[in-house]
Amino acid sequence: MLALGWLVLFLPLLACLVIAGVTLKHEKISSWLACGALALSFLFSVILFIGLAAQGFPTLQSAVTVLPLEHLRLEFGVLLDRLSLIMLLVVTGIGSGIFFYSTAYMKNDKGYSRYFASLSLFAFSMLGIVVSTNFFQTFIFWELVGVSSYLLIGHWYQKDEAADAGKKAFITTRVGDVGFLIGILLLSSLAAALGKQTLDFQALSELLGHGAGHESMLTAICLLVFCGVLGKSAQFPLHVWLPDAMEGPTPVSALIHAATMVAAGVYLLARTYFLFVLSPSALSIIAGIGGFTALIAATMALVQPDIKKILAYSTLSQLGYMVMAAGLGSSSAAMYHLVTHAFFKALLFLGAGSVIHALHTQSIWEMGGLFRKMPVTAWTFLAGFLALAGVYPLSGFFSKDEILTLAFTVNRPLFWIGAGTAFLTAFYMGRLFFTVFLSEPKWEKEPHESPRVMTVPLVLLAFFASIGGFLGLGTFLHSHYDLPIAWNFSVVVGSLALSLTAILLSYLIYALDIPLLKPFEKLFSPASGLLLKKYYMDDLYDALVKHVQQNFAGLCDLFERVVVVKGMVNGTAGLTGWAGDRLRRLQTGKVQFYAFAFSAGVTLITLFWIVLR
Amino acid sequence: MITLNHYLILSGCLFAVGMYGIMTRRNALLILLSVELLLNAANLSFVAYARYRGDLTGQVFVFFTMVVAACEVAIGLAVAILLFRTRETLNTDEINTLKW
Repeated sequence: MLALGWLVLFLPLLACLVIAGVTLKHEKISSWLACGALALSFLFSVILFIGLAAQGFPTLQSAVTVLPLEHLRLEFGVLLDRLSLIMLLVVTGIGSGIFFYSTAYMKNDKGYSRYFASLSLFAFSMLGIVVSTNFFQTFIFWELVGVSSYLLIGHWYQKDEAADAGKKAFITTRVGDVGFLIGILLLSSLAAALGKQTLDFQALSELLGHGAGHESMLTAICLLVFCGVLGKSAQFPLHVWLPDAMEGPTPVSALIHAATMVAAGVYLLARTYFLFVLSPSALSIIAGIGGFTALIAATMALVQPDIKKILAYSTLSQLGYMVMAAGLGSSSAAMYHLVTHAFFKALLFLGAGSVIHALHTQSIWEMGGLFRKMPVTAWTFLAGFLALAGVYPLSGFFSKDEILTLAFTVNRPLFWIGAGTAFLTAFYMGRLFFTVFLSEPKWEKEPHESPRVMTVPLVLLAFFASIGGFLGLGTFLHSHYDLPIAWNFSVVVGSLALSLTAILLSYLIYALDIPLLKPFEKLFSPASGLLLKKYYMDDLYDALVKHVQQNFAGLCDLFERVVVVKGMVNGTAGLTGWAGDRLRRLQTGKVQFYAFAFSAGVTLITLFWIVLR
Repeated sequence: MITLNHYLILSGCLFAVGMYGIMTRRNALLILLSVELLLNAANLSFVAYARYRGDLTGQVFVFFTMVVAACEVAIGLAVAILLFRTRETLNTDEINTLKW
């Protein structure tokens, strides 16, 4: 079984290497290599899942030591339990769908083979995080994911925006990763203090079980590890990179910036939940950040004209939900929402890609009336929309209400934030859907439905987005660290009513063009300006970089050039040269002088010796 | 009564004179002469110690030294003569072709 696990992990890497090394010139072969490898991974994951289900899901682990240090062995391994199995299925399953979709979407692209090589590299890195047995391995793959994300966002590197967005994503997540690394180092020292220096998840969870008395240290570690989550899962204040990352090809947005990579942070939270439950104060901060991100991202999505950016902000907002759920005490609720979100958000992005493919524009105001023209896309998009809005009986309803119920029982203010976000979510998604598919057509060239290879993944994803709530994922993933969640009827009905009201409102405004918002225009215009400027977060960071960081860098540069180079390096060289110049004069070349120096030396030494005696 | 110390002091004086000669003279011939003085100073102390200890080893060494000194003088003088023939001088300051 474990051998299969290793195979699942390494197949995409193999595909990546073969494409990069051999078949770069043969586009067809490259794309089928990448798709085949991931599909095979998916197949093996399914076999693994079924095989382990027969044994009642034991926790299997195998690892090889890559770096034996004196007190610490750095390992690389495969860990198979309920959590990683589900995530394997999500990553390889949704990934395969998106890989196949890409073969049509990226047709006639110049970097076709390069694109599939990067995609495979991404799949490898993501799977590495999923099956990771320890913090060291997670960190390595964490960075690899960052690299492959950078490569894919910047796929159209000739465009300045794409290249900049890639850099922004990479650097912003790196900011969080610094904290993550420090957290890992602190954790290893804490483990050493508790008796066994290790970074292994299972060993740590046993070790920390009786690690009482280190609360402040644990809180610090949790928050530092959470910094990595902040970056990768794009939580406030490191959320700024995700909307820009939409410059990449749409399937990439679907796979990386909606379904899997950004979920890595939430997955890490769930994987290391044994750590977080030890620090209630860290958890409450995490919950607060998650809720805050969910709300501000939802507000920003209200005013965006770009279809992919709306979905990007929606992703931010949903990630906020997941982080909030983890912070409120249930990693399984977070993971549940992660899985359903992966389905419907990948679906929505691929649907958006299909629309963009047909119309060659991303602005929703230039679309409209597509329901007749692109029925498959429209129906599947509708499924994704309703799932995201949380309408019964689609998957989003179950996972979202689990989080809301949890918030209702644990933390009332966060419940109201969550409910408000749910309302906003349904509203902006309604605005998107009704404007794109049901309003008056604004295009000139007749659009066509996308080819079959693009619509089949849509239908499959729509299927899972619809039935995802009935798979029992919540109870399947439930671990003994999680708070139990009891269904609360009023919360369920209330949130459903909220969603439906919001959808109805958006239908009236955007599909039927009833100017309901007209009287409030004066009220809204300053607010929408603020939202369009993304709360001035980007400008704030710009100013910080320009005025604070650049000046500091200038100072460092000056220090380096004046003190280090001129003073220390050139100074040492100068001193040596000067001393050599002086000492050279002793070398007269006259034998008699040497003889004199020699005899004088001998005499002095002898004298000294005699005197000392 | 002449004791060991007298010999040693004489030997030391001879050595010092020889050293002084080596350091100050510029004429190769005189430097060779001074080297002979050094050797003989050493010989003198060898013999003195041999006598003092009633042991012939020191005297044996003196023989060796004399043989070596004879060879050295022979070669040294030959070099000096050849030098004089080619350079017409024995001033060591001017004989500097092998320097650097």
